[in-house]
Amino acid sequence: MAASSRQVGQRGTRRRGVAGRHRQTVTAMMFLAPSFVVLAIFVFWPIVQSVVLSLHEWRFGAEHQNFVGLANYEKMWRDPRAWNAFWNTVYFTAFVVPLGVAIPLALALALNAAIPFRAFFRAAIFLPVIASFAIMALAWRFLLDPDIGILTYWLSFFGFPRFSPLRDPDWAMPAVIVVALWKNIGFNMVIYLAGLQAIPEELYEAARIDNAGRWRQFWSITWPQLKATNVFVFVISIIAAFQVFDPVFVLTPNGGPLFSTETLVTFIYRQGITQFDLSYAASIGFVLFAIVLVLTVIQLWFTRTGRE
Amino acid sequence: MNAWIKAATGAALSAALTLPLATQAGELTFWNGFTGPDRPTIEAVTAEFSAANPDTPVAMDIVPWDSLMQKLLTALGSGSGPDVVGINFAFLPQFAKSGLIMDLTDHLTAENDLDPANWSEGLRSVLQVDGRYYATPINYATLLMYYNKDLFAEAGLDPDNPPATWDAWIEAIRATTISEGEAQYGLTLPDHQTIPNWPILLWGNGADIVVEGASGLSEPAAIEALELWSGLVVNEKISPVGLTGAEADKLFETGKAAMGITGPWMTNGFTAAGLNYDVTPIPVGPAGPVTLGDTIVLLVNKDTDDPEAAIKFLAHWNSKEAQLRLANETGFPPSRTDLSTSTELTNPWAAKFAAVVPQSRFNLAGQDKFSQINDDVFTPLIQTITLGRASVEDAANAASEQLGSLLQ
Repeated sequence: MAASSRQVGQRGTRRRGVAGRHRQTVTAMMFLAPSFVVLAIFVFWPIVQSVVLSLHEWRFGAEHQNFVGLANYEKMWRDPRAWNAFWNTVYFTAFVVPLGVAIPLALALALNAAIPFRAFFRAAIFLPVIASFAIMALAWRFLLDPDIGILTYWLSFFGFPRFSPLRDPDWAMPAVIVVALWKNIGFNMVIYLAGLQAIPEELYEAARIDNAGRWRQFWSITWPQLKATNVFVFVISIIAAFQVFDPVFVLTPNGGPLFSTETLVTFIYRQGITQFDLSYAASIGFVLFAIVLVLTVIQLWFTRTGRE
Repeated sequence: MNAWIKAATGAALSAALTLPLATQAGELTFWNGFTGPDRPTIEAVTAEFSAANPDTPVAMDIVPWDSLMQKLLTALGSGSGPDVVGINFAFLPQFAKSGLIMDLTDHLTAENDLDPANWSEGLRSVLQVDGRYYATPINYATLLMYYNKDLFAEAGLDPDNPPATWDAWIEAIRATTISEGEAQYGLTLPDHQTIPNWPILLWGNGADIVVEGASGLSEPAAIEALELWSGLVVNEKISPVGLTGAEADKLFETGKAAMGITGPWMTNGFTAAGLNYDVTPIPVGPAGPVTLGDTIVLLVNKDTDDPEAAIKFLAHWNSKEAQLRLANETGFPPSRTDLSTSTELTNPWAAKFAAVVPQSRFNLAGQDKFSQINDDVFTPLIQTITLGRASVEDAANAASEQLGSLLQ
């Protein structure tokens, strides 16, 4: 009797548990629904649509859109301009990501210490982040102008020839990289400052008692403790670098001299918006999406195995 | 209950906010990109139409040209486009072939004050696609050579006697180019984001980018012109390389360039900068006098609710009054040839720009792949040769091959 009543009781609890969990799930779904609907309409559905678009030869106003299968992807594979855009994007990323991590980290370390005018420096470095890139890039274009630019004028006093990096196919991309770094290091610096301030002071105290030098403290405490911050900064930086648009577009319109700064996103813009080849643009967009997805998964996988 | 009241208030508020944005019945929507100094005149001429036609007032939306082009095709394609839109003539073939705009041929009559006979032959040809009219002009621009009179005098040239032939021009360019120390350029030759300059140099030598539907870039006359002018840029530094139109104008405005080729829209800015300058027809090359013509044209949405009002609006822009007002207030020549010698044309700049209308030509007229030809083939060709990255012949042949496949 006792046993059976316990069984009943257990069953009752389990039933209540299942029902409770079910209710919880429903409640959670209800809470998630609004954002899911928004995401579905504005993110997932366009992704699906862009894949469909990339498999057609889309013409505005046409009654029937021709299905062309993978022809757009094949065209991309054979298009030297698409490859040029890909390698330019890799070039940009290869410099912007490491420098965009190293410089902000160095700045954060410096500005985390008690130095004079600390607030001023922090604000000055962060300021470009909140400024509009369209306006800042125009200012940079004027600064870098060889004939009326103040920067090239000052540099000429030090024996530099007055040339325009933005009009030179070899120097346009380095100039874009410098401006893009200037614009964004403040953001990463703030993330690193937050990361640094979360490291317990006791760890450093213990290290000092053990007579560890500054360098040793950095590699044995600061760097490992910043692991989560690093993952975040790296992932965000790589995604942003692969999708770079504004600095390139505003500093070097039309892809720069001899397309030397044309990146994947500016190439997509050009094909889709300027030349109305939306299907081709969609196929490049989908490839870019795949590249970013793969890179992100690889990075997360690497950092996860590192932690375990 | 409270929540319901809040929701109802919210709905009412949002409805109230959207109401003024919705199109009123009978209203004619008009999009264009006249954000520059000519904007007030465009607004005034549009307002005149609304005042004269209270049943079909015009709701005008002015956004920068590139933003306009970005949203126009999708808007027309999804049925939410404007009734009438102003765009550069170069995009017309693309829109005409999309089937989204109205065929205007049957409406262009003298009774409607839209008589094609009033337009120059060149203008008539760019308003048509496959023999049918799809657009009418708002304005007309021609290019002249601007020259800085002070820099001419400093170089020992006569400011009242600007060069009239290529030989005299090159001499004047050399005399005003200073490559030592603080550089000064004889001429500005922008190659991208600009009103076309280089095609005029090709035309001056009897060449063109496209000749009878095929590439003309590897023709001897084209190579000769490209070698001459890129040689002056590379070897004698007569112009900086890789300029945009705006950068070229800035160089002229700041007195760092003695000559530049541009349209009537720059007169106000250069005059305001206190520059001592004048304009003259582009010096004549071996093939005779020529300059570039450019026009902003009006298209009508195929799905407009009121085609009659739209045609009336087009006629309003083509009227003598509107064209004279535009010319006198902006310095553009009138788009009607019957007004080019009108005594009511009082703006002296407009008269000068109007004088070269008969010799004006349109760049890449009728090419539905206009932007590919210009941005993907011609601009890189000019950059390659002015940067000295390849010989003119090799670069021109490569570009010609690329152009050939685009034109197929």
